[in-house]
Amino acid sequence: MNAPRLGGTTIGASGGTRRRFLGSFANYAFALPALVLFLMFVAYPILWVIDESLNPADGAGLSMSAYSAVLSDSVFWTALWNMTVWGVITIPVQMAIGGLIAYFIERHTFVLRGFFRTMFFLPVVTSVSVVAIVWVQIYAPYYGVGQEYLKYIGVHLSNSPLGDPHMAIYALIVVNIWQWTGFSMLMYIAGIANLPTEVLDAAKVDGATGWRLGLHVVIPMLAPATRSLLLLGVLGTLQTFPIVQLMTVGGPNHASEVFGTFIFKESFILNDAQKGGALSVIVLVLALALSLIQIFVFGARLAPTKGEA
Amino acid sequence: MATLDIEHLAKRFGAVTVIPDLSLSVAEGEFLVLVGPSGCGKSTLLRLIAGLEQPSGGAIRIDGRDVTDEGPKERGIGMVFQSYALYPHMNAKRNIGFGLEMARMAKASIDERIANVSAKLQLNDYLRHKPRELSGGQRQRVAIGRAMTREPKLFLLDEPLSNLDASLRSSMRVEISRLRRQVASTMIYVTHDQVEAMTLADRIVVLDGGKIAQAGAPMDLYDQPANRFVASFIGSPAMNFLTGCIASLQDEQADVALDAGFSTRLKLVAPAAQGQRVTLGIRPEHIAIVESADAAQLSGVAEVVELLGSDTFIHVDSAGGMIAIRAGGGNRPHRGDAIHICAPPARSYLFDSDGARLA
Amino acid sequence: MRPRLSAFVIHLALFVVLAFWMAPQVYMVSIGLRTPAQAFDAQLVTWPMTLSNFATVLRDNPLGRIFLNSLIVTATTVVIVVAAASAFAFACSVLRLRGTLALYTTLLTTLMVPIASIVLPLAVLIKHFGWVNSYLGLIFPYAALGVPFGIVILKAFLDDSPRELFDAARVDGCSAFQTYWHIALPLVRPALTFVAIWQFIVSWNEFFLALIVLTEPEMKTLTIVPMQYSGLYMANPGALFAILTLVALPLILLYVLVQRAFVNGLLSGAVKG
Repeated sequence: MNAPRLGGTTIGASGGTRRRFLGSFANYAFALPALVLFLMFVAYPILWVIDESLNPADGAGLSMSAYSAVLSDSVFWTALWNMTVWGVITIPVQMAIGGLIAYFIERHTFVLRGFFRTMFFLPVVTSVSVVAIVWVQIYAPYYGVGQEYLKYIGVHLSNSPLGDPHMAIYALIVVNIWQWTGFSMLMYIAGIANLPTEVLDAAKVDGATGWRLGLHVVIPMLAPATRSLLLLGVLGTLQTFPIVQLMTVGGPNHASEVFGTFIFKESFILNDAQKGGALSVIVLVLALALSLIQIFVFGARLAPTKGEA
Repeated sequence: MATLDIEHLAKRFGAVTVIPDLSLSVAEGEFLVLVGPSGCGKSTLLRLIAGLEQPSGGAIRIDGRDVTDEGPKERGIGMVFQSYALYPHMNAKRNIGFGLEMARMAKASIDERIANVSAKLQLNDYLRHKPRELSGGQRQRVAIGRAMTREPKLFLLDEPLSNLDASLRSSMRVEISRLRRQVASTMIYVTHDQVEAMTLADRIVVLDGGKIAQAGAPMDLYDQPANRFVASFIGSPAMNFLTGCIASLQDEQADVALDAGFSTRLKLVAPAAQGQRVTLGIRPEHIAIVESADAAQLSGVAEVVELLGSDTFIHVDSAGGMIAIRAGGGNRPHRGDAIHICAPPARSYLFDSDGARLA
Repeated sequence: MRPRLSAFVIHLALFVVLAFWMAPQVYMVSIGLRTPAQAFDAQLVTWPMTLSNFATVLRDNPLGRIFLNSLIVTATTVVIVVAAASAFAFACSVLRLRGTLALYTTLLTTLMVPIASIVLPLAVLIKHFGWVNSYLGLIFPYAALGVPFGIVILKAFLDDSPRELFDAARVDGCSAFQTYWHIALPLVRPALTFVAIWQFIVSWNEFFLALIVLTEPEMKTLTIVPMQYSGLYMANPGALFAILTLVALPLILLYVLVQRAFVNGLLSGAVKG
């Protein structure tokens, strides 16, 4: 065995790496591609944005003026409100519908399981540009099919809800729920597959069936999946951008403005890189804070691992 | 075959010291068993010998060469893991030959070696199967085969039988004994089962808290345990212990007064002091049952009687606590019977309060 | 009888929910099949149907070339993401290289960055490299954005793998790369499939960066095509929706084909090997 001595890797070792330096140095090559991509296309833009946010155009040096401009802009608060409403509605609703569907598909269907799993996931794989145009059409007054069916339950709208300042954000929320519930469903499918049948059997022996089984045993045991969905949901909510931009552009008159559209407007359209930058940093910090709280306080994980009760 | 020398080996994981200072020499072709309770450091020691862990101090030599800084590949070892660690996506044949494949040996040579090993371990029917299609015993043989094909100088086995069920374990024990003749390697075997240790080893090393409690041939450990730990570890059921103190000393003999209410005289092998608190040890198989209370040193009531046919285990509740006795199969008392016993001094041991052997 | 009945009811309920859920897509296809006269009917489906819109759209647009663009960008991105993410996860989870865990946490910030924020600096960067209107202008940013999620999944799978397998590989004389290639990758193959498919879906459907980077009609990806044609809306929504159908179709078909591998990839985390 004359393979060149890579010096051995430090798998599982915890100390004493005397002559291994050369070996493990070469092993960092594994981490390199991911790192380079990150530095060039994520870290650099973030730093650029932070820099912009602290350097107003008038060249007066470091200043927080962009931040105060953002915080004093009423649109920011509208966006914040919209994002809160968005998160509070979409996340639990997607979980509830997704969870219920997942449960019935996994536990009560057999032959058609693959069929249902696939069909409910199709909206997730549909391109945002397609979703936007179709739903604009659905919501359209007079010729949109949405309006037609609303008439059956006695609701008459003369305008698209997308054009109504009070309803716009909710109309968008419906679209989001339609598109992404399939993802929650999938996560719960994975969570349900993870449920050890022995525990469920023990619960049945203990007399829990039907609703009670669901409520007291299944739902608590799906907690890791729920926590992951919450984390991903919060991050996803803050990231919301293309669907709103394409359907309402944040209007009418900022009524459905979300962080993404607001940033885009400021940075790209109004060319106010400082304000856009400040906004970006605020959103980033918010995302970071909310993530850390969930990870450290609730033990959320981005990908639920097995073996967590 | 190779010699192994371990010199003042130490291993720390952060603040925890698993092995403080251990030195050991293994002769060429020896079958050494490392035995001890969970957490005694035996698996850690094996991993250090394998090169899977780096020591915090000390040195390891194989055939005189210092290999402390080398990885497993350079040390020329073969290893059988407790969970077998077979590559799940490869069939048995590829699993066995994988090490040689990585070393870029010619395919023909690899096939030849695999055929050789497969014949010895009776794996010919299973070579095309994946691990999940094999039974526990078959997987274990594949794992052994994988280590064997590399014709290692040093053969390491980490509790290979602990994942098997009881009946399979005894037959695999015989297999490993037989394997030993076929494989010209120095073998180091880790187990927590003292039966495996006693039956397989040339030499046993009993570990306690990362230190060697005693090292020696199985019968030496059985007949002459160096301390209470080894005495209670070797032998099943475990040795019985009775507390007492030294009443008087004469030449090299000690009169021991047991708290249970009798006295006995033992020949000392280490210095003792009058009045010293001691513990008497006697193995269940050495306790003599006598007919009446007059002839007995200790009496009690049979609390649990286990009839195995070949032997009878009687657990007696006495003034000295619960005493376990191993008697012949013909001896069949009933629960609640009065049992009268004697502890022959020739077969009794004496330990001080630290566990060191006095007699 | 009770179990049979409840199974039937459940299936019925699922179908009803499904019917509502699929309505928008049925609607989309249906409009694509309408003549201009019917196009504005406020109905889910109208009769008779015509394929003339599809014919027109396919004839008038280089959809084939556009499809190819999407395919090249997406496939390349997937390959890069799978390679980079698995390599990093390997270094972090199996090799336990010092500093990789801290690096891992830093990389996770990628998931928190609102894409709208970095669109501008990315556009500047891409312009600087001369990658405007080129595949690389999308491939690298997509890969950079997709790698962290891949790492999360793959690291979780590797963390859950039995350590002894990698020890056995070391004893068998594997170098780090050999362990990666022969042992680690096959071990997490279901997860690799999942990451690959998910990345494919995400990259294929990405909109804004594609819109900004690819301005030449020849270079556009399928996802941004609809925006060009919304001007057609006034005249012939049927044509627009025919395009939408054609744009949505490839990925839907692909998903139907791979969904088994995709879901099993996710579920394989449930069964310990």
